[in-house]
Amino acid sequence: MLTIPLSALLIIFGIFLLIFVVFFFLNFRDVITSHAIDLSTMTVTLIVVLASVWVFGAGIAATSDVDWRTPLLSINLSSFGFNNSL
Amino acid sequence: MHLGPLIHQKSYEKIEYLLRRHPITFVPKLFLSAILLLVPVIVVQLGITLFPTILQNQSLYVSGAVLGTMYYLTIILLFYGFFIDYYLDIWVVTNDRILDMEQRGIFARTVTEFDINEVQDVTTEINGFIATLFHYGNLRVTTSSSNAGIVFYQIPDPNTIRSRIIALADEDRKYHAALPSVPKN
Repeated sequence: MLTIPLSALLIIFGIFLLIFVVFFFLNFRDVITSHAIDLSTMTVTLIVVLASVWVFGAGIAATSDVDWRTPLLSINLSSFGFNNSL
Repeated sequence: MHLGPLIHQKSYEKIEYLLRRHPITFVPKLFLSAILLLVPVIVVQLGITLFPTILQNQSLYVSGAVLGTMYYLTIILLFYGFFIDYYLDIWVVTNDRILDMEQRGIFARTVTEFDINEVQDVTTEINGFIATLFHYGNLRVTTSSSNAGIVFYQIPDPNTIRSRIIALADEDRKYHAALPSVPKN
C-alpha cells in the first residue's frame, strides 16, 4: 500500500506560489520599466498585493490545525502487480 | 501618467490626445472576475447543503483549502492581467506623431509610431448597440508608407478624433511644404 500524505499538497502549493510570485514580479517590473506607472496602476497593484497576502494568510490560517501526515491518497500497489509493501 | 519621458516628447511637440479603450469595455472583465471570485463560495455552500459532513473529512477539507487559495490567487492575477492589458493599451496623438503602445498579454508590448503628415486615410467603425449607446468604436489610420497602419480599439468619441487627426495631418503637411528644401550636393 502506497500512502501519499496531505503534505504532498504543500509541494504543489509551493510550486504554484513560486510561479505566482515570479509571474507577478516580472509583470510589475515590466510595468515600472515601461515608465507607464502612475497613481491608478500603483493603487491597483497595491490592492492586488494586499488581496494576495490576505488570501495566502487565510489559506495558512485555515490549515493551521491540520495534521499533514494524514493520508491524502492510498494506492493499493498489489492491484498493479507489485507484491512488496512500501 | 508622465507622458513626456514615455514618448520622448520633442520640445515643439504638443500632446493632443492620450487615448485608452472606453471604460465601459473593462466592465465585462470586471464582472467576469467578480463571478469567478463568487464560484468557490457557491460551490462550498452547495456542497455543505447537499453533503453536510463533507468538511469533516480532513483530506477533503485541506485539499479544498489549498486548491481554493490557489484558485483565488490565480483569479487575482488574472484580474491584474486584465487591468494591465486595459490600462497600458495607449494611443497618443500629438501635433507631430501618432504613437500606438499596445500591451499584448502580460509580458509583450508593441510600440508603433509614425509622423502625422504620413496619414493617408482615417476610418472609424462603430459596431453594435453598446458601442452606439456609449459612443465608442475603432479608428483605423493608414499611412502613405504602409498599408497596415494602426488601429485605435474601442476609443471614446472616434468621429471627433478622426476629424482632429485629419486637421492635424493637413497642418503638418502645410508646415513641411513651407520648409525650404535642402539643396543636394
